[in-house]
Amino acid sequence: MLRYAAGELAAFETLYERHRGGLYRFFLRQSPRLVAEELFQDVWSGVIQARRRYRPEATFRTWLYTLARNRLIDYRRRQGHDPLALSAVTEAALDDVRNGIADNPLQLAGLHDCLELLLRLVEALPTLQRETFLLRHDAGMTLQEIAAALDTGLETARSRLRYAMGRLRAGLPGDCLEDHEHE
Amino acid sequence: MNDDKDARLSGLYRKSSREEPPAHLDRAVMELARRSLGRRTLAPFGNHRVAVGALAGICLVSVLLVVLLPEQGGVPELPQTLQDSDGPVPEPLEKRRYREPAGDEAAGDMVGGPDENDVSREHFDFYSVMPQAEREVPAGERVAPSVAAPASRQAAPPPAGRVAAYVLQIEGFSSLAQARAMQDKLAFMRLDASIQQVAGSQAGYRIRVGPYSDLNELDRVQAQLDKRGIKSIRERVQ
Repeated sequence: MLRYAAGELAAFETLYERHRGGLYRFFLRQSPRLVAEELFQDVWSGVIQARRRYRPEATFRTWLYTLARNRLIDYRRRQGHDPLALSAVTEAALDDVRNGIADNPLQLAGLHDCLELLLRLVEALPTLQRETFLLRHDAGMTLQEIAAALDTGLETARSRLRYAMGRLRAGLPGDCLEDHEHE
Repeated sequence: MNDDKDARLSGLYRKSSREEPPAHLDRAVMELARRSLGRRTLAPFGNHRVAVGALAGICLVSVLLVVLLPEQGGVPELPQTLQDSDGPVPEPLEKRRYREPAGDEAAGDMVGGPDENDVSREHFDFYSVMPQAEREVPAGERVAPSVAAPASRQAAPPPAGRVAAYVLQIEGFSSLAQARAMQDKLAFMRLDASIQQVAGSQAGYRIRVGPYSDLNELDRVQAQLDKRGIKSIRERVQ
């Protein structure tokens, strides 16, 4: 980032290449596609505009996702939602998913169904757990970095991740967590 | 046992979460980055010769200025001017100061301007003549639990919501772009901030940082803001 701030476009390309996928999916799991695209562009625009002010007080990744989170909170507020208490998916919608599985258990045999279900379950996590899960898995952050980005303690971050994983495990049929390496 | 399952779960998620940003987004972002460095791509009808000619002209004028101007003239300004030439040339502060709220785009230019800090500081000079008010927010104006934006920072949120909590409010943004720029600046300081639109006679945007139920924490953050020339007002929210 400092190299980009000094005017090196290639440095920005490297940063962008490294973080574009994770950031995009971070938004995609938490907002409709079009909104995700808008927020994604908005965050990078913020990075670009702030390049001269960048101070390496935090890692770039931590800073990037702090911006991302702010944008998301604003978006939820504009929608009139409580920015943190809300899940992207309502419990009722999740029940539909579960009922669909219960009605049709055989369909779960395929890995594809497991993947689909897992995405829905992630979207249905409570906001703070979902953020923590996504920062770990899509952003590839360490627990320390997550704690810094969410401005919370290491133990809090760890326990949110643990709750998230527990909830996902509980929501997935055992078949899905069998070894799929050979598929 | 659970560790095994967690590892599989993580593996499964990595398999499912593979979406990539569409190409048009990549192009838009890279174009923004390029422009910010002043490497604007020429329009299809753009003529390189025009650009080269303009550059040569600027060099010639610069040389003439250096040679012809007396020592005390505008010469010391010259390097600054050149340095800034890769971004939009900022308008003199005096002009901006009392301008009516501009459109977001105009403000967007200001946001990216090299004198960003000056702009925001100038913006908050207003508060230096105000005492740091502490006022109770009328129930109707309370921003539901949503203000809890950074509630995440509280390991254990107060149970019945009866504990007094404060937010630090930064007011006086005439455009969303200005508020965003401040929000990003706060992100540098690892402060979660949310933007709210304000209606009425003082229409514009304000930023809320917090809430904090720990007064020491509140003092610390407010001092941190003060230190950077950002004036904030305490608002009681619970």
